[in-house]
Amino acid sequence: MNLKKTYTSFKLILQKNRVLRRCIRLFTFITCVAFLAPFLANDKPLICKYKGQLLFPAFSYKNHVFIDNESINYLMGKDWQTLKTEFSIFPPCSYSPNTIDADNAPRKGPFDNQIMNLKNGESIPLPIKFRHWLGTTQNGNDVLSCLIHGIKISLGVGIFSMLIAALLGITLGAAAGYFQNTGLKIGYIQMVFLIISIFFNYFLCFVIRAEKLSDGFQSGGIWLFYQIGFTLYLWIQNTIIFLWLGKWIDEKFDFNNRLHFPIDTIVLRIIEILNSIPTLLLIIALSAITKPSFSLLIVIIGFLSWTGIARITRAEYLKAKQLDYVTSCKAIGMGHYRIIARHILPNVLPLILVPVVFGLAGAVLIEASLSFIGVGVPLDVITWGSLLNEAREHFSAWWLVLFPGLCVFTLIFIYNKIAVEISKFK
Amino acid sequence: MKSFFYFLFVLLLAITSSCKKTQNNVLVVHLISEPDDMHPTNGASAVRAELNLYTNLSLLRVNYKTGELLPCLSESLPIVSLDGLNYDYKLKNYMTWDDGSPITARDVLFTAKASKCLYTNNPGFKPYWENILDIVPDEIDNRKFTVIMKRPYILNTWFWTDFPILQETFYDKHKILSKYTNSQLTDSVFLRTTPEIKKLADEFNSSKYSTDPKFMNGGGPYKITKWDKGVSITLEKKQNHWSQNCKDAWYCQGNPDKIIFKLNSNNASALLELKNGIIDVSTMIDYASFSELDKDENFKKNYVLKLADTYNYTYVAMNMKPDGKKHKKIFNDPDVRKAMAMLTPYDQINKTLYENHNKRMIGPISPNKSDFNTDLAPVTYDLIAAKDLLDEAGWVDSDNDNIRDKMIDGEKVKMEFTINFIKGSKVWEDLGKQLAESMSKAGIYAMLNPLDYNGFIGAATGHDFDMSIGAWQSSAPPEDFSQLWHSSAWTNHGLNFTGFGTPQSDALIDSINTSIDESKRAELSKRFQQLVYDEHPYIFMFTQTRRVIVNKKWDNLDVYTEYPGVLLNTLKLKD
Amino acid sequence: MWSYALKRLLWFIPTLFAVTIIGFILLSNAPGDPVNSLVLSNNSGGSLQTAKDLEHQKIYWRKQLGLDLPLFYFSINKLSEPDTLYKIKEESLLKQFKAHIKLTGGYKNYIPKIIWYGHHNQYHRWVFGGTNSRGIVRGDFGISISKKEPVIAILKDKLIWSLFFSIVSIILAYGISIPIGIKMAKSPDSRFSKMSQFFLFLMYSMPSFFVGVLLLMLFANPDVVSIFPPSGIKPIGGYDDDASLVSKFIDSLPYMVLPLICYTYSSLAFISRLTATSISEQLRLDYIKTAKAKGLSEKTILWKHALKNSALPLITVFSTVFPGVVGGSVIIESIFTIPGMGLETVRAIGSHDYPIVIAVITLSSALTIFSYLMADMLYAWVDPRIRKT
Repeated sequence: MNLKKTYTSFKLILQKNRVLRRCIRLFTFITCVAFLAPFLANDKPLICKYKGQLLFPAFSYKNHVFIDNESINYLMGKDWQTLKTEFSIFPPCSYSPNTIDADNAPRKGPFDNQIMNLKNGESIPLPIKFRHWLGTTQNGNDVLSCLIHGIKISLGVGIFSMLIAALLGITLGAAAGYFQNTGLKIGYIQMVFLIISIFFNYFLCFVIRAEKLSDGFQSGGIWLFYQIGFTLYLWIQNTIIFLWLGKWIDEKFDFNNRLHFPIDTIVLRIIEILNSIPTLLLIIALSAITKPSFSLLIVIIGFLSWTGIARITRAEYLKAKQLDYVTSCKAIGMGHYRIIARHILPNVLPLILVPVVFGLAGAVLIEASLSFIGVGVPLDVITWGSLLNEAREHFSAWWLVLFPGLCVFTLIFIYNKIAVEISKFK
Repeated sequence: MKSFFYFLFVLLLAITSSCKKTQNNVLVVHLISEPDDMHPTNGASAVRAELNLYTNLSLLRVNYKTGELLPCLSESLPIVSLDGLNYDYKLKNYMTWDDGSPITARDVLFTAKASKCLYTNNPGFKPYWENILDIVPDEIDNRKFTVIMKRPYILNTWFWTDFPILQETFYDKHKILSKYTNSQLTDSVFLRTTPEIKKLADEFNSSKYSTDPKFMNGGGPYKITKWDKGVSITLEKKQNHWSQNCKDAWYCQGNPDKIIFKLNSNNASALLELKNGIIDVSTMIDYASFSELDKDENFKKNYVLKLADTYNYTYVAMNMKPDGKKHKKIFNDPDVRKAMAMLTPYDQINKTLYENHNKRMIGPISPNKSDFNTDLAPVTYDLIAAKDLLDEAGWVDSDNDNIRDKMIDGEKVKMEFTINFIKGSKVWEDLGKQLAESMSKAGIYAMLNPLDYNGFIGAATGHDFDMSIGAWQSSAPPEDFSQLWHSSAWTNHGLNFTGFGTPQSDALIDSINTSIDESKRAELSKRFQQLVYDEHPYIFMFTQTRRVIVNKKWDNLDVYTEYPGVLLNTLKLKD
Repeated sequence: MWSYALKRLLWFIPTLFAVTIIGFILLSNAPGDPVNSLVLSNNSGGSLQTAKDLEHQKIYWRKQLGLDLPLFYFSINKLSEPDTLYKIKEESLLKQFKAHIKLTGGYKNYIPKIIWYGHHNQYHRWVFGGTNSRGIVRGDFGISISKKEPVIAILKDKLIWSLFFSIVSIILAYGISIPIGIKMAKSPDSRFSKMSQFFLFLMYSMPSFFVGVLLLMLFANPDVVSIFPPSGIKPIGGYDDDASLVSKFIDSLPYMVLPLICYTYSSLAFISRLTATSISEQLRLDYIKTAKAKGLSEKTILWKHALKNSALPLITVFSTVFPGVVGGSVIIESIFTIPGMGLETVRAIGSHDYPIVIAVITLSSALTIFSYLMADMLYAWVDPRIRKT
């Protein structure tokens, strides 16, 4: 199995390289923190005992419980801290990112006097377990909690956008590199049908489905992915049907395989066009036009940053085409797609991984930059960049600069280091 | 090693030249956003209005010290006819334009016509002229003229305060507009037959008057000499301005030789500039930075920090007449609206966002105004009472999902809605978050919906919103409630966003607008405030406070409630 | 050489064309009616008379901006839609009309129809000029919505600052990192090369907004060290009217230091590493050995022979660094309030002034394409083999 081969080669690389191993370990740790975020930073206690009843608020999906005719609301934020429980175990950071701690707002630093106002009007120093270790923001959100929950977004935007980019880049790059300009042959009628299909698909996807598509862009989230995915699916499916029809007619009239389809030139042109548009500017413009959402950001970054991947894939496929194992595969009459996907791909995958991992760093940087200038990201989620954005207005809050900045730096550093270390194994 | 020395040299150079002091008698003022254009009548930005104070003159002005009318170009306040429709003005005789020609009634007439002509692009000014029937110049005295109004109205004189008077010979050299009457200029059929008006209007609208300092002209003591886009605007004192010879015209006299408006949209670097002593005057730094500077003893050695009231206020509007389809019928019940007002954590917001500097707003009129109704008590934050009110109104959490719901027209409606606000402002974003959090404690789910300015206004005037956070700028003239509260301003998609208004309240507004007698108007105004107060169309939040910071080397500082808070031309350099 | 140059130039025309199409698609999909923002006023108050005046103004502006024309040379519509659908401008009206068509159209809703409009369309007007427009080919990008001024008049000064910063920072980056790279190549295992490699890599991973804010906090803050001015690019009140270019430069120097650091630091790692690898490859070649044998000094060998022959990869890097610098200007300019294109873009997005945003994108894409062209030319000039292929 080829996947196994790839896996073992990765394992070999890992065994040889100490730095890479450490980086991957650190990355795994960060990912774990992201997954465990609700239990590491939450304003609800993990376990507490109230009026003799054992409660697990942080794990619970309940909305409220009645204890002795008193309704305990699970959404009540900071009130859990002042609730007179018999005992309670809070997560290490006892705030959710959206919890507003008005007593310690605006902007209390890590070393400032942090207080807690009790319900009877008394104010006491904040107990150590409720302390804001990394300070608070203007609204009194806990910075540590925002950082922990922000990992999810930084990781997610990077990984999902690079999934899209890798899919596009590898497919197009492989096709361009393997077939070049002469490898793909189509008939006259097929060519005509291909051009007609573009118009037809445009009508189908962007005129008839215009409303649904714009609805998807407005609402964001999974719905956006679905709409874009479905549009792409429709497009590809219809193109294939048209091509197949054309081929059928071509075969009837014996027009088959007369034209070279210049896929290499087309892909290279598209790469050149995309490369000549400054990505950050285009993303800013795009996200200003549509309603900001993370799924849109993922899609935009994904569709704009596949060029580097495609270029390297193309180069690797060009090289691989000359190698003996490919020629022998061709000699035994193996299909093109089988050669591309099952035989060449596993061999060049580690090298393709380099631009993908660099792309991850780039995506993180783009997301953070956008949140920093406050364009194109939803407001209700606090990200690393948006914390820095707040600091931009108030330099005295150094903790809002230092900690989020370090977080972005660390993640980008890890990605870059991984990419550099992988690229050493040529 | 060599390169290191080069670096040191560059550093030294940098230090020395950054320490270069500005010239004397030059006032540097912090500006947070650039005016979009500086056209005397066609522009829309607030900054332009501030600059107009120094570069242009109007017939009347607000007396900053008392909040009353003050004759500026006019010799005295107008003589009003008995029916309150004819206003006789007489211009002062010693005033001249820059080229030495006197300011006459012709200029006033030209200003009126240029604003009234359908082709000129000044939608902000057009509404003012709706009430003007005609302006008739005196046949003998070219400094006298009569303004004839359509109906008596409290702002019949006040509106002149916004209006810079334009020099006819500067904008209309061939005196084209004076050939036509007011009614001809608003008749679109007639206008189509006269290409010369179209040509003049196109020139009048053209960007040279709004961007090029060479084409900026006005009667004020200062002149814009340089506009470095995105960097600064420089105003220079006119050398031979007529105001130098008359002592009583303090409002149009210039003391600093130069006023430089330095643009800096970033709060933090503006703070650094203040600390570095680069900026002399700032009224735009945010609340937190003001408090920070107020605690800084070193800084206070060089700067005066003052808080000043304003007439502006922030509000949260609720859609009282939702369509029921796109927007659920949540806020058509006054009790629910009252509960919303009770759920607003005023103290918390005032503390976290405004450093406790802001005063509470109670009704539709600022407490800094004389006709403010002092009998009304502010709504305070009360979670339990609000919950009770909601329960009574039928909003209960029947399905245990922590969100209240109610059967309306046979359909279960959840208490979920969006809060609109204009994006780009961190304060409103934070305010929205605090509102939403506070409401979630009472079982209400509010989503934030940041919109750009046009989208926000469009949604609000199109009644396509649930709740929207906004602010109104107001000024010293008596309040005309019809813009915001008359029910016609709702049906015509005007600024009455909420749908407030009954025949009774409309009648009250009309009678307020026509009662020239001050004490009677104040009494009616108080009654109207009571009406609004009972209905809770808005959550009235706070009146804003202006944060004035002025370098101590400038003397003669007075802080006013009226925008812009500090009259820069009155500041005097200490010796 | 010239035929090669011409060939490359011709290849860039379709790219430029595609860029304008992308820009135009963005522009025409921008939400909201630009005319609405042009005539919007705070005082309209809801009186009917004003609404009528506004309508008049709207028609005027629509004509002025060419918005009364169809979008493109042709359009693909439903058969049930009339040919002149583009003439309906009010969004709510259009929505109603479309809903009506959807209900009554029947099968015609699913049959495509291609309408040919000819060259009287918005795209043609935008690119090649037409009524009230000279087209972007002649440098007319239309009218800014918020400032009602020609876009190009607004962007002209800003473009100069942005270009200045990107060019100076690229020169600086090369100037600093090539000596470092050469030193690293000379002794790859020395402490210097390891340390500098590590630190440059650290810097490479630093986000520029983080560094920018840190620099401001540390070096323009009277509470820490106040060496540099915190914002702007010129001394207060601007330059003197008769100032020479040199004195302007010296006046602006303190304002430039921090932004330039920000622009430059991240590309250092990239360029110096590339210099190091390509020079160490060259050093292994025979001609260097000959040169050594000839008795040339090490300095001459490194700086003259090896560097010249490793110039190729350095040129390629130029075309990857340049777009990054242009895009990065958005962040750095808004931190240091430099009145360049980036800051203008952020402002324009805030006030939904799309013509400016699109003009910035189109302009910077054109610049990038131009820089590619330059790189290609240099490439061909340095390595004659390329011209022939």
